[in-house]
Amino acid sequence: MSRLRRRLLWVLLQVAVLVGAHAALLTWFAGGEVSSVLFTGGHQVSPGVLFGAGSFFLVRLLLFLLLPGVVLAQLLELALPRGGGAEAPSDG
Amino acid sequence: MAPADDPSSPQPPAPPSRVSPGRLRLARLLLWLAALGFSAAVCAPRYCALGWEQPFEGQRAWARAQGAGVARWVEADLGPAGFATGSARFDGEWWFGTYLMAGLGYVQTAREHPELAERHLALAARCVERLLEPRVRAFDAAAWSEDPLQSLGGPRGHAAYLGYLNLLLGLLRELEPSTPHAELNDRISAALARRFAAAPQGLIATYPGELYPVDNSAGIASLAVHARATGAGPPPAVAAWVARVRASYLDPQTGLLIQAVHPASGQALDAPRGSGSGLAAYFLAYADPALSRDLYRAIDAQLSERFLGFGVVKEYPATVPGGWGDIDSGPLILGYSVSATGFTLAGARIHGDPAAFARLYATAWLFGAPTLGADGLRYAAGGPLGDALLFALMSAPRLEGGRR
Repeated sequence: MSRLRRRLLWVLLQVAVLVGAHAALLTWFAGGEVSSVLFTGGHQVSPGVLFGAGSFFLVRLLLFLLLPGVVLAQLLELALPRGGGAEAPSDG
Repeated sequence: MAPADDPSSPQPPAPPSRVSPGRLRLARLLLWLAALGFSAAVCAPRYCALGWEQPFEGQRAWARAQGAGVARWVEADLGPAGFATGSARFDGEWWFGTYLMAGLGYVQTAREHPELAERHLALAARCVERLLEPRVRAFDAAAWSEDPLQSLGGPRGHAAYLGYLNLLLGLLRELEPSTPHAELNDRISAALARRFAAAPQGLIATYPGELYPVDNSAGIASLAVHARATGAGPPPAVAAWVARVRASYLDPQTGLLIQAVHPASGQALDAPRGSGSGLAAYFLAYADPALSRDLYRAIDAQLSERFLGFGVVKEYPATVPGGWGDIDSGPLILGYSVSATGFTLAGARIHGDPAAFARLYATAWLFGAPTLGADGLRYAAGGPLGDALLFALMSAPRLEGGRR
């Protein structure tokens, strides 16, 4: 498998995981349970809901704030020359 | 023919990169920073703000979808146990607030869209029925040890219930003069006017020993709306209250509304805050647009900020140390308040500030997680109260830069 193909699949996997996690959490909280956390600061909320709500906001922030940039950066990286960590040979 | 031109000859290996690993690492770092910055500060706020003009301009499709989403909560058999605030009083307040804000959203959208009026006025009337149920007003009755509707002849404030309910009754009556609750609207208005006139600090109590100007703003708005609905002249209680608030309950440094007042001395018990100022700016649009505008401008000048292109509102001005948040503000993140940010949406619409509305809408979209389905538009992170609040706040009456 070529390097390009591997990198593209890796990017696609990142997108799929984040979108899938967001969809699952959105379904979980469709009943509005997360509002108890959002409006009251988490008082009297079960640890499960608190953790789920925290995960939901984290995933949502990653999805909408950072994921486009992560994808863009990885695609642009493909255009950079490969360094491989080795020193470039000298002309001499 | 030169060897390089001969296609049958083996190709020479690609020349090795002349870029040093250090420069390559730096280029990668800069590329990642630029991409992430572009994504978070340019793409995300614009994407999240898509569709902001629908509520700001009062588009019918938005009003219908949001109204349908909230209808589910109005028809559902909610109870105080569904609001896990940790306080029976606040659970009751949230339950009451859900029907109140839903009702306000319905009358506001019915006013803007006559074609939706029949459906939305029916739903507003349903909200009033809910609000009149003894179990929904039990939070207020428990605090005062007397029922707010059966003690209208008495002196006690009941601002947590009566002012808000009366505002909805009056707005519904303006659009539907034959409402069966007109007589109740008259009785509550008379009781509130009498209580405001007798209040030593110009404020009636929300709960025993607790004075909150923001709760009073709803009561005063209800008197102004009642006067309009009945064709009476501007009630003197409104002008007197506005003058008292301007003189005593606006922070002279910031112009923000004091959150709580000592019942005996009239001194501030709490700081000037964004949540109270933002909600009061909404209610006062119905009573005194000038004070509403001044509160909105104070929020804009003192508390509103942009964070990565998103609109956010702080709960406390810079001179006041904040905390982690409370039932009024919601959790404070870097000092930014969930409630103040949401409430300011109303001020931005009322006073015709589309840029601020778009930024705040982007924040509400990001954290509210709206979903549009067959049952209408709802916010996954909103729950019953959040859906109803955003419905009412985003359909607040446009006084400047739009039609009323």
